[in-house]
Order: sequence, then C-alpha cells, then structure tokens
Amino acid sequence: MKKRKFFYLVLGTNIFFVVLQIHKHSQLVKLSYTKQKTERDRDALLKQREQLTQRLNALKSPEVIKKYAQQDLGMEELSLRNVKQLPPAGVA
Amino acid sequence: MNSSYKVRGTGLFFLFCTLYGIIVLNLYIIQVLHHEFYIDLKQKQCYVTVTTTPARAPIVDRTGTNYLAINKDSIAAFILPRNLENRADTLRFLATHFPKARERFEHHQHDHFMYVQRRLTPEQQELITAANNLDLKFLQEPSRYYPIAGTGPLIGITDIDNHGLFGIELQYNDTLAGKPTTYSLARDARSNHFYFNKETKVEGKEGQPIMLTIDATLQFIVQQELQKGLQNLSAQEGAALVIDPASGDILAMVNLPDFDPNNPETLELERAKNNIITDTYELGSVIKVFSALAALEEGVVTPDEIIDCKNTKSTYIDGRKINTTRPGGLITFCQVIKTSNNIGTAIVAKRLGEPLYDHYRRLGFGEKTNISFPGEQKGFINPPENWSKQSIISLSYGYEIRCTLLQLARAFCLIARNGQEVALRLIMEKKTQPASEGRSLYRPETVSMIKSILERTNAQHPWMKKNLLEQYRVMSKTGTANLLIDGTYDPMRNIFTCAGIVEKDTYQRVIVVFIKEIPKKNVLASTISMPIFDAIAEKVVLHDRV
Repeated sequence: MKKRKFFYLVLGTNIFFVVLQIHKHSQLVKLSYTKQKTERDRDALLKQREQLTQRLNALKSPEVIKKYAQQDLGMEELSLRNVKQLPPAGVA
Repeated sequence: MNSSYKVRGTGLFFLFCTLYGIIVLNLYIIQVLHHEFYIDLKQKQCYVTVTTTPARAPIVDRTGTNYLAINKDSIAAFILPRNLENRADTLRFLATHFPKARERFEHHQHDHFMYVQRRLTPEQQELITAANNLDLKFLQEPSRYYPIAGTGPLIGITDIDNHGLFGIELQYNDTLAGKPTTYSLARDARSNHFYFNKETKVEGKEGQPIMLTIDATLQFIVQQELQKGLQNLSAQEGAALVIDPASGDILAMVNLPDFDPNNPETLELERAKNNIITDTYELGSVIKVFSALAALEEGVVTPDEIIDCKNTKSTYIDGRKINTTRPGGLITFCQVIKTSNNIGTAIVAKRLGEPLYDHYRRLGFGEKTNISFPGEQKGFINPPENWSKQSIISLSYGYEIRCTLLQLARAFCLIARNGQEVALRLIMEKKTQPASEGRSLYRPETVSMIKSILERTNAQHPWMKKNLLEQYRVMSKTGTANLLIDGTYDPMRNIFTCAGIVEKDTYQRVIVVFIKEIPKKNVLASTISMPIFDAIAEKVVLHDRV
C-alpha cells in the first residue's frame, strides 16, 4: 500500500510539474504575443506621429505662414521704418 | 486450431515487425541520411532572418525646432508578373497610363515582382485606385520631405532608395541613415506575424539627427529678398550668405535659381549646385579690401597718404592699360579704396610686390574652408613664379585670383573680428561652445583703419540719406568684374558682388551678396548688389531684433 501511495505521489508530482511547465511556456508565448502586438501598435503610432509631424511642418513652412499673414490677415512686411526707438529710461 | 492460431500469430508478428522495420528505416533515412536536408528545411520554416533599416534621421536648424528635412512615406505601385489575375486588363492599363512600366514588363514577365512606378503623385494614386484592378498593388516606401523652400542646394535631396545624392544629405549620409540591424526570428512554421524568440545577429545603429547652424526663418527671409532683387534686375543667378563672425556660424546660405526638393522630377542639375561653396570667381574690386589691408599692414602706405591717380579713367602702368570708373586726381589712399580707383590701387600694390600673394594666402584664399560640404573648391591665386609684369596689378583689384564666396565671407569675418581668424561652421557642435580663439593674423590697428575706410557715411553716399540702416555701422565694399568667356574677359557680361559687415555694439553680421549677369549694361555693383545687400541687412537686423 505504502509503495503504491509513493508511486502515485511521484507520478502526481511529475504530472503537476509537467502541467506547470506547459502553463509557463504558454504564458511565455502569450506574453510574447502581447509584447509583439504592443510593438506593432507602437510602430503604427510612431508612423502616425511622423505623418502628423510632416503635416505640422508643412503648415509651419514660412512660405505658408507668409501667404496666410498677407492674404488672409492683411498683414504687411515689417521694415525698419516701423520700428520706433524709445529714449533711454529717465530721459524725457 | 491451435496450429492455425500460431501461424496467424507468427504472421502478424512478422507483419508488425516489418512495419516497425519500415518505420525505423524511415526514421533512419529522415534523421540520419537526410539529416542536413531536414535541418535546413526546419531552419527555413522556423528561423527567419530579418533586416530592419532605421528611419533616416531629420536635419534641423540651429533652433532645433524647425525641421529642414524629415521623413515622409511615398507610395509605390507594383505588380507580381507571374501571378497576374487579370493580365489583359492590367497590361492595357499599364500601356495607357504607365507606358514605361509596360515596356519593362516585356523583360520582367517571369519575375516575382516589378515596380510600376515609385513616388507616385496623388493623381496617379487616384488613377490606380479608380482602376480597381487587384493586380495593381501599393507599397509604402520611406522618402524625404523638405519643409523650407530655398534650401535645396544646401540640404540636397535623397534618391529613390533614400540615399543622399548631394548637399548635407550626401555629406552626412552615413550619420543620418544609421546602420541596419539583422535579427533571427524563431517562429512556428505557419506563423507569419509572431515569433517565439528574437536574436540580434548584427547590431545596427539609429540615424543621428544633424543640426545645422542655419536659421530656417532667416534663410527664408534672405531667400525672399534675393528673389525679389533678382526679379527686379532680371538677373540670371544670385547668391547670399549671412554669417555670425563671433562664432563662425553660417546663418543663411541661399543660391538662386534653386529647385523644389519635394519635386525631384523637375530637378535641373545646374540648379542643384551650391555655388557659394562649389564655384570660384574673379570677384573684382571687392578684393581691394584685402590688398589695402596687406599694404597697410606692411606699412607701404598710410590711409592719409596722397596718391596720384592721374585724374583719368584710363592709363598705362608697366605697359598695361588700366581702366577705372571714376577719375581721381591727388586723393588719399582712403579715398582710393572708397572710390574704388584701380589706378591708385595698382600704384600701391606695386610697392607691396610679392608679399601680396602671401597676404592673400594668409587670409585663406586658395585653400578650402573645410566646411564639411561636398565639392568645396579651394580657388586659385596666381603664384609669384607664374607672374607676368602685370600680375601684381591684376591681383590688387581682384583678377588672377579666383575664390569662392565662402572664402570671401571668411576674410570679411577676419575684419569683423579685428584681425582674428575664425573657422566657419555649418554643423552645430553637440555642446554649444564659443568659437575657439583663432590666431590673430593682423594688427587690430590695421583692421580698424580698414573698417573706417569701408564704413559708409551719408556724405559719401548721398542716396544713403534715406537708408534705414543708418542706426547701424555698415562697412561694405562692392565689386564689378567681367566674366571670363573662352579665354577673354567680356565687358558686357558681369558679376556684381557686395560684401560687408553690419555692426551695432557687440552685434555683428557678415553679409555677402552676389549677382551674375543682368541684361542692363554699363552698371556697377553699387547700384546692383548693394541695394540687395541693404535690403537683406535690414531684414537680418529686424529678425535678430537688434
């Protein structure tokens, strides 16, 4: 009886460790997939950021700004004539 | 019965033994005899080698916030010639809209892959989408976008495979592109998307951004002013350069006509050149500044010494005819340079002799500035051993000496820095540090004399009464030179230069303006390049809020 108990105990422990090992491996694969999915999402977001940066820079182009300022806002180019020199502090 | 059982039992035994034998034999064949073959097959199915190329790094201006070159995906169209589902329709479509691709198809019809066209325009993309043909597929490819117009000749462009072709893109191609990384991925045979293990085989390197000393806004402003000037004059070519002499930083570098770097299909190679660095010119009278500097440094003349300029527009010295624009009689050396009198300049240069060549070399003419730009020219100064009797005269007012506009600007930086040399730079150092103290090449007193000679005053330039730069100290010199065409100087084809320094307290900017060939004849740089110099100087000080 004792022998049989011991045999089942050893067998049970082995099966438990095998299941544990399989579980560990499947967890590893699962996490690896999650990691790779996240990496793909990150790459997609980086790509999106790049596209937005490119659009932003196209809008920041001085040529575009100048056109907008002159045509839509009616602004004029600044000249040194427009700069008023203030007397130093304390001088009336 | 018993015997029949035995026979059947023995038969079954041998049958199973044979079957097991076959299995063992197969295992032997697979695992021993064909071991290598199956290992290879497994490797191919489960281990994939992937090479990833890092994104090309951006090029930014000195502020770090304005991008001069960034990445932008371009769209390419391709077909799989071996697996065309709708061959007739596809070939008809190609023949109508992409005839070159149709021609190429004849030589690639057995290939797996063929590009129809790369870098498609939005219209071409729409055309392909509208065709609704499953054989025509799209592919995203990395390419470059240049937000600031007018930086083409400086920044350069990349080719269809995103390698630098010229300019900064070429010079720093390896730094910008980085190095690709090679991985080995372990995956199961059916998975295309996921892997179990990732092993780095060859470690790559991310591309490093390049920060230029260029100020993107200033670059645009200078480009606009030069463009305006060129249009008014109907000039063929122009260039402008703005430098901070304190640090040697090049703040703006404009060449016109330029090209649209975002539309490389329209590129003309001649327009891709950065003439400021890659072309040399005989600049004429603007060089008198340095022959005067040499004469004053050597003590062969003083600013107040009276020089007899013969009161004529044309005379002979050593058998060489010398023409000058405005006749001058007995005038001071200071007046000789101010009025740009060739006769007076030649008389003083003759006193100086061979040391003039040494002074030009000392000022950096005839040697590269080492600006880190592809195709930089070093120029040429006729050496004394090759001199004719007239060479000293020619050299004194800017002939027999060819230099780049960058060398001219560097020499003016030396004047701005009271005789101290400075190394020009186009790339910002990682750590912002003040320019290293250059060697002192000229006595500050001599440079100070030159500065006073170059300084503009209302009395000397009546048109300057209206000049808006009068609050600033403006020191400049113009030069009008004939172009050398097929070995002879053509007086009808000129180049006009104006180089100088704008100064207020500790603030200094060196500006060089260059105009090549205008339809109007018999005009001088003082009416051609100087107004553009003033317009640029005005915008520069406004931009810098000085």
